[in-house]
Amino acid sequence: MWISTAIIITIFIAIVTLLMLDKANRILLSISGALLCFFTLTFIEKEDYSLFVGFIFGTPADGFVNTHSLILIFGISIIVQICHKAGLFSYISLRLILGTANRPNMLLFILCTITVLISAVINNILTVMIIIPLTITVTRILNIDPEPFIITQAVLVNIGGTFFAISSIPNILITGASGIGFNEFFVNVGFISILCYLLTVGLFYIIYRKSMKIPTENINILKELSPSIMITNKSLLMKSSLILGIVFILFISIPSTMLSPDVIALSGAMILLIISWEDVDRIISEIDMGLLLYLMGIFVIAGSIEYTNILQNLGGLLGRLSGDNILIAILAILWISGILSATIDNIPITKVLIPAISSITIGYPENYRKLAYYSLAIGANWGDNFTPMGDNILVMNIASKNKRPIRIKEFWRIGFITTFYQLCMITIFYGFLLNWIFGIVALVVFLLGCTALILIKFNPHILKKYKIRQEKKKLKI
Amino acid sequence: MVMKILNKVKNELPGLIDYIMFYNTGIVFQSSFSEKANVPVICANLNEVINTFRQSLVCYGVSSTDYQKIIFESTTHIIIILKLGEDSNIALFFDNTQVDEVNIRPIQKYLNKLEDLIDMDKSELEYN
Repeated sequence: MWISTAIIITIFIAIVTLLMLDKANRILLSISGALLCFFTLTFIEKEDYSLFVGFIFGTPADGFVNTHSLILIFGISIIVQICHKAGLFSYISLRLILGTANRPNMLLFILCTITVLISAVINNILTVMIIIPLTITVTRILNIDPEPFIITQAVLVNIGGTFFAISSIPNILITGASGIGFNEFFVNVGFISILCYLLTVGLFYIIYRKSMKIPTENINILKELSPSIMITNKSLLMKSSLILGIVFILFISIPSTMLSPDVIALSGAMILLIISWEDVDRIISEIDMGLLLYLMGIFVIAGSIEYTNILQNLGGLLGRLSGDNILIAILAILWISGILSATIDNIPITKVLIPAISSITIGYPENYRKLAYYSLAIGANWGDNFTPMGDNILVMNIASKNKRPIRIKEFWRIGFITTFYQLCMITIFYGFLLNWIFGIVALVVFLLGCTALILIKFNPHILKKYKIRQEKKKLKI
Repeated sequence: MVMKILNKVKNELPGLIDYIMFYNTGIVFQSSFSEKANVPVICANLNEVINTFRQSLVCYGVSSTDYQKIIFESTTHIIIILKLGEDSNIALFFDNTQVDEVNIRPIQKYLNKLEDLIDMDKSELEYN
């Protein structure tokens, strides 16, 4: 067994390293990794083909969890693709921007709100592809620097990704595996995300307050933009928004035990395809089928790792290290998943950590067990912003393509500060929830840290020393 | 403000039926098309035309792919796509049966004004 364990672990490490370095196509990597796992388990462990079918689609024992995830992603993708094709997201975004054009101070808030709302419904990549060009165009008209807005939006896309159980792939995988319902997820993670979103926007106002002034005459030019121009097909827009709305209502009102969200999403998608009279082949071809293939590959790799019992041992070890202290275990999950997803794609990280959490939380009460999964969802989604890697590379590319390149140093600085700030907020929150003494201590430490930073930043003596040092550096150059 | 200038452009150019002002991001700023026309799709097609010509120049071995104008002429229509600012364009649709020759020199000052209004270069960004 140890030979196959060593091979599978090597495959996993090689794949995450190559994913991190962005040296090869992620679909190619995951399918190749899955194949190598297949050969290892088939020829060394003499396993049957049915094991791999179970890895990809799930088994009756786990309630076909992977199949539910794949169908849910497929169904939601069809609905979102048709909504996007009709111009729904661009139309809503522009209408909201123009609605607040008279109050330029609100621009940052409204752009942030649009970003989190869209990313709460559609995946982060599509959100960025819609919102960043729109932001650049708006700032081009307003003759202001788009950098603060773009960085803010890139950070907030990941917060929007924790609003609903369907907002991101990690959420879909987590809720599928843990049996957490749509409403339950929203109440326990969505609300925290909304709170954190408001606190983050506040932080961004403090950081960027000086670059938020907009010339009044440019606002009048912006008002000449017409949101209706964004609509490619009015009838399709009405039908797609209606179906999207109904699907959301059904997600909220029907318990997943009665009708699973994937069936609701797929039914909505099929109804929309029928009533839209759109070319089905074209719509399907526009969907990110590569994502589904990538996921299937990851399912096999994660299944193979689980087969070797490493994750169960790792989970046990973490459990022992935390001394059966639920707070330490939950905070460890939050920070480990956050730091790991900073450099590695959060999908394989989530898939691999789910069984580990399941081992850690054996014997925990049901609400604490779910809390561990919530912290995984938060860590895996929000940790993405620690570094300008992952989805954030796309943001940099779009900005650069539109001739408004972002300084990577600035992105790194702001991303790191805000993610650290957000995870600290969650740490304090969970502290108060599970051990109020720890909560108070964490809050005091956090406030002291903030005060020290403010004192350093605004202390005239330190600033003077810093300026002198900078000037010396310049002279040396 | 922009609409006023566009009306002046329309008055200066006989035979001009419609115009569409758009960004390379695919966002339309203004257009004179009727409601029946699918403006976002027209904009996407025009962007594709610009990109196709750019790609052709890259294949031809030209390093700089900045364009100034693209002209398409059929028996009934003439379409001229003009580069406005750093990332914006204007497409003018003429009735070919009503014009002998299209001369855009009289509207150059309006085009410059439009560029200033809707699309400043990064170097001209006003840091407040």
